[in-house]
Amino acid sequence: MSRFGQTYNQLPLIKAPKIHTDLLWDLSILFVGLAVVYFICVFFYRNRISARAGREKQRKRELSPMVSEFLFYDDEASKDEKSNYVNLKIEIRQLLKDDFNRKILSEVLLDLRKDLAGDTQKRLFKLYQDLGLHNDAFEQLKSWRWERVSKAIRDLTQMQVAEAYTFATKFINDKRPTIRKQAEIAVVTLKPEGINYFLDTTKYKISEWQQLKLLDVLRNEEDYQPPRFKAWLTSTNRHVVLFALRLIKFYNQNDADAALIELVKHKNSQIKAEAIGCITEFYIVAALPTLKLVFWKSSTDIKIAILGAIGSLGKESDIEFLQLIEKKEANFSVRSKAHSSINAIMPDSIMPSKGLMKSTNYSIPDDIVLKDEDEDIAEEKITEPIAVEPEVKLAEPIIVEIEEKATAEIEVEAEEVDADSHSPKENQEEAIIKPEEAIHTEIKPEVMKENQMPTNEEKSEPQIEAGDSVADETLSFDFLPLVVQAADEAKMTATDEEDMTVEPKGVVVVYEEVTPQEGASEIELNEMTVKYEEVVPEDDANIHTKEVTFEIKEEELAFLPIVTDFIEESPLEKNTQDQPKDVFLLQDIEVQFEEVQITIQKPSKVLAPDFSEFSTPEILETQVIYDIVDAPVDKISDKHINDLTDPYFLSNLSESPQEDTMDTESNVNLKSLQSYNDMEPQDEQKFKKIIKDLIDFNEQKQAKKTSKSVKDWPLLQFGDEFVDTSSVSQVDEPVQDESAIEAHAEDEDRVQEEVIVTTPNIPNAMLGDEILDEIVLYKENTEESRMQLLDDIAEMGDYRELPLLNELLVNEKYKTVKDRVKRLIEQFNEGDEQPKQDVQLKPFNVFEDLFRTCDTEAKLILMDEIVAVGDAAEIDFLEGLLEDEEKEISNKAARILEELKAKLALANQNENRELASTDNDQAEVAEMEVLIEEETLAEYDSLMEELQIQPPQTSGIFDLSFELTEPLTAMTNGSRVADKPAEQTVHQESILGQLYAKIIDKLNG
Amino acid sequence: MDSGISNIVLDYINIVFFLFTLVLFTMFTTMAYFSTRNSIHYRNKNSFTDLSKVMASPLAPSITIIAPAYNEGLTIVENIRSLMSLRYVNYEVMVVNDGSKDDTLQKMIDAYDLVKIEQEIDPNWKSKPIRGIYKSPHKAFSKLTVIDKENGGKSDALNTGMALSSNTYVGCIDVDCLLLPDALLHVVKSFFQRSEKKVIAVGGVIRVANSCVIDGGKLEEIRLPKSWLAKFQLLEYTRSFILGRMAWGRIDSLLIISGAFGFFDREIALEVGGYDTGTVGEDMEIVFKMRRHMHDQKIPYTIEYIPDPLCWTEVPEDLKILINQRDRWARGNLETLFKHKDMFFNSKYGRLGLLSYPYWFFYEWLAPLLEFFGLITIILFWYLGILNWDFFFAITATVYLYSIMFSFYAILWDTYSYNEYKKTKDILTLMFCAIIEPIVFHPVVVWAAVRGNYKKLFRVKSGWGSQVRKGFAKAT
Repeated sequence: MSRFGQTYNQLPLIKAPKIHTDLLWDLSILFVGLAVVYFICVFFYRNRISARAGREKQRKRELSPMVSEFLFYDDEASKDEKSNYVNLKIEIRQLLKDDFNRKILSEVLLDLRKDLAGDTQKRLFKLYQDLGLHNDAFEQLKSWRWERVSKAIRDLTQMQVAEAYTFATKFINDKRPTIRKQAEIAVVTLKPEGINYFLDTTKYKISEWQQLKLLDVLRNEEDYQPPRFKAWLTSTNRHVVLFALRLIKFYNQNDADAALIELVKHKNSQIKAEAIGCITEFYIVAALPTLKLVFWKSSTDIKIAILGAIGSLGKESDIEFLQLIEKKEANFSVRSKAHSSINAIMPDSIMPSKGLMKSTNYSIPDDIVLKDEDEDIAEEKITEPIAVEPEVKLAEPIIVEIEEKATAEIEVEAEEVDADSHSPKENQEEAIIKPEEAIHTEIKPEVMKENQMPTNEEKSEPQIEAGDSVADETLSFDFLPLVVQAADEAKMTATDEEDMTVEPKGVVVVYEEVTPQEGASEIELNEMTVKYEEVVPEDDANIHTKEVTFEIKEEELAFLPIVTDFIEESPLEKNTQDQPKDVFLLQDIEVQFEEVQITIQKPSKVLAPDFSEFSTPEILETQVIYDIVDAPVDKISDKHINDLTDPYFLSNLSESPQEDTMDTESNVNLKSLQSYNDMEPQDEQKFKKIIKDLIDFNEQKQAKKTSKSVKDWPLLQFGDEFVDTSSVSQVDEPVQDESAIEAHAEDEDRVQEEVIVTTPNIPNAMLGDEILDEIVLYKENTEESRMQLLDDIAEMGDYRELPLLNELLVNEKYKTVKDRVKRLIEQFNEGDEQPKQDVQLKPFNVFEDLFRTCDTEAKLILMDEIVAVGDAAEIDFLEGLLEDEEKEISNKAARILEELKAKLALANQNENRELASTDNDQAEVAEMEVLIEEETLAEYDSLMEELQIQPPQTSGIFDLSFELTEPLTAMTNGSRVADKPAEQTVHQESILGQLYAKIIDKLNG
Repeated sequence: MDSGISNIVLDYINIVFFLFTLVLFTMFTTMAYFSTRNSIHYRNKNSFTDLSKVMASPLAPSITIIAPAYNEGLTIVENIRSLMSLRYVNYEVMVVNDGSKDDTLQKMIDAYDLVKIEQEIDPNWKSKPIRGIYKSPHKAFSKLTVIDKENGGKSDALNTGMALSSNTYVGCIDVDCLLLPDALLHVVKSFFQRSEKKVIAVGGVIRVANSCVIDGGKLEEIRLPKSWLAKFQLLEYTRSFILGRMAWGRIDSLLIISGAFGFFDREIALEVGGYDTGTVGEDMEIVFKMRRHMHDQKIPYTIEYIPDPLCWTEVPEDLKILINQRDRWARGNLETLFKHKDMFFNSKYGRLGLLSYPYWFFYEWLAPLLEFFGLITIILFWYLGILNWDFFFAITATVYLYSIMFSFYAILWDTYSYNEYKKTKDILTLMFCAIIEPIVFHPVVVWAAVRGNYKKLFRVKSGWGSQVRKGFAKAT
């Protein structure tokens, strides 16, 4: 035993390896240490993230308005704004020295890009490059980190840096997906031909997301002319093919029929689906055989897509194929789609055949008891397609029991009748609805909740049960309206308006004749007789016809439209059609108008009643635009005037029968006025012309003092305003009509009487802007209006009106007006004097303004600039700076003050010299100018080289040179500079050079 | 001899526990590493994404959000309103009233003026009878479809929704969940972003909405839950979603998509028969099925995981409800693992068979049982006087401290990535929860898991249990 134990103990395999608890304790300590580190890190990162976010927010808040200033800066801004602008430039340059600021500024610009468009967006892009932020992005392209490269490409793309295109093309097949995707977007965005390059060169797959983004880029391109994408349907990259298909569909490029048909056979189901989509979209009927061919080996989705396409493109010959699918296909969705496709090709060719009740089951039982709906549902088996019944659950837990005895008459409310749930026989019964027949109708006890309105489907849904085939044989009456009135309504009384609602089920109404009782030439319709045959199906086999005659009074038909097709052309109508031609004869007629009467001729027409039509809103809008005045004028002349004033002559009467509807009761011959907006362009022009002429006429009359006789005053001599040149051209054309000219010749002699034109009361809505403008213009041109204007000027004007008055004096043709203008000019010249500036304001000092917002460094720079460009106005300002808190500024101010004073003294001396001697050599001056310019430029270039500064690009936003060159130019151009001794000029030049260097130094860090 | 053998046995038991712990540590540490990398990668990649582009695109796919509702009368109207206000164009909200006993349906009808419509579904599709399909005639509610059916459980309701939907993708969510407005845009991007593989499903993080302020279906303010039970769950969710699933997503071995926020390729989901109505772990089971299906078809596929906090839900604040929930999860886990047992260490399924499944088997299903029986063993050994106190204390301290360290790391990463709980007090509270959770909360979870396994193994009849919703706090 002990031996065994000894042996056992000695077996090394059985002895368990020792786990040193120290190791576990060490691990514990390690975990504690890590936990402490994490604890610290949590707060460290939290604070850092919060602080950073706060800093970014703050900096964005600072930078955003600055950027906006730049973007919306106007070159013609006020002095104040310009100074602000300069200040901003200095400030932003300072800020850009910091990487963090550059990053934030870049973000601000990128954010702004989304909110801007048009020129402002272009300025933003320019600003991005002017600030050199694009150089940062280009630098980032060299990074090994994918996220940096991607971000750089994205930034360059979004800021439309066209130079980035070449770089982007290099990354288009990069193995790092994010970079590659950004490069793809860049290529497509930066150049219109980028999409071609991308589709040609990409080797990788294009994800759906990427396609979506690329399409978004293309969609938002302005004036984009897409290439013919069918070129890429043969690509070896199936993703390119897929994308090309989508682009073809999006851009409706329907010139790739053959390729699309071939692609239906593609292995890839996505390509297949897209190709089918295109085929359906472009209605490629030739694809049908291919679609049928590939159908059986396709996936469910593709099958459904194919069936959809066949439904759209197919013909009756394809139904056989669809029926085959219906029989053989196992998938419910596919079968269902096949049904719908058959119905799409031949509507209603497949009707519900399952689950329908026998017609005998529809007979109403003696007692109708409403059963709880849940019971029915529980009994249903789901082996049948689940047809959701439109039964609405009872709102309240009250079961209503309805007991109804079969009675001879059943009044069925339209809402309660379910047209489809009844067999044709029942429909016929409903149609005939004879009181002696007992109708047994199973009324489905639907109890509707108050707030629950049934849908159409619900209304028409049959209450069906299995095992009946009667419905298969029935015709669909879906299109028919529901019967509102039952049996008694079948016997209509002719005088009842409701009789117009003809029971559609089983009743065939044949309108035989509609005979106006009075002659066709007479307009008034007092009575007419309408006969129709009522074909009443007595049963399935027999139809008996009975004639119903009823009389319709004219008033009852007033709402009816007039069918002009049947109208025989009456002499009156003929005249009416000729009216437009006659209108233009007026220009040759001397007419004395007393009143303008609008007489709308009522054409004689045979009214064919159409029971389905009712009076239209246009009729209700009938307006009378002119006062109706009885005019004792000759018929023909009257007609002419009517033609002129009546806008209705413009349209062919036979084209607008409904507008002939008249108020027969009052028997006033009024024609509904065609809406101004509804007029045809040529009519509109004519109408405008007439309105204008009328207004012109009236205005002219007023100008000549109201009620003045215009006897023997031809219309053509009314003045330029009346017959304007534009209207002449319109008028000339119809005058060529010989018959019209003849008619006019006859009329001419007859029109002798005075005509007083009443002021037309034209609704504003009828006057287009054009006309109103013309009215205003015309008003302004009358003598009276001019005088009125001058009165106003005399009353309220002052010397500031002189320019206007002078202008009037030149242009005015009326002598009286001219005289008045002259008097006013004299009056203003004598009487008024320009107010003198009695408030002495402190002169504006641009430097003072800039100093308010500058930091110390910028102030020092600006002080240097004062020496260069300042004058005596700056002395006060500099003296003020002597007491500045900052010693640096006060010291410099003292120095600058001295320099400025010296400069000004020198300038004074030069001025004095200039007065003394005027014979300086101009050639010497020019030479000096060139010299200074060259030296300055040389110094500038050397500085630029030394500081390695790239000259600014074309944009002027950050071009500071104008500030420096301006004083220089001023000095060189001015004669004073020419008089300066060479030594002084050189000294000044060196100061300028220093200033230049310092500013550039400052701005570029 | 006896004492020698027992010592050896005890030593081996110690070794087993030690190794188990060591492997657990290793796996958790590896998961932390993967999830960190995945999070960074995700963040970098998504900094270039402008999700709004999908809004007006003609290529935007159609989505149906299916939300089963059972006795949700208290919150249903507000929840639907929230679902209908998502930022996406081409989607439909399908609420399946799973035979609610309360006034859920009536409230929906009243609020959205619903009327019954007619629609056919595949007669071969197995689901409980449908009482009615409702749509609103108002254009504003045109996205909404309500299906009223007899009670058949969540899976049955989801299946009905899938069958009636005609859209490309279906989202299966809990109706009481709050989706952020951009949720669907993220989902679409996840489905669309792959070119090499087909994305068959997309899952996401579930965040705890207890005590958060929600107004008009929008999350106005994120607050730490007041209830301690909810706080513990918040910590647990953070650990699980931020570190666990993120890591599994990184290696494309995600085996579960939360039932509260899961989107599927409808065609594939229907091909595998939809959700299994015979299990309470249907969300895990459908993922197993779809993965297997794709493996069998040899089609390259993947399941995407969105770490952004897009879905917010209420967690149980009642201990009993919590235990019931975890009990159900344990049963679901066991049912699914048992149903797909042939995948266990089956190289045919690649990482799925060799890594994911074993992990779920050992550390999701077996771990609670081991913990429970380990505790019993310790008590027994203590009672027998053979407990190795040194080892016991050392390993307990190691596991405990690792647990705290891991929770701290989860909090750190959550702060770093999303920084949702900004208040110092909130962070400290969460850390305190991490310290006491292994002693206070974890035993409850273990007990619930043991109970669930017991019920399943001994066939004790049990259902879904129920949860009483309090409703989200309203903004004042």
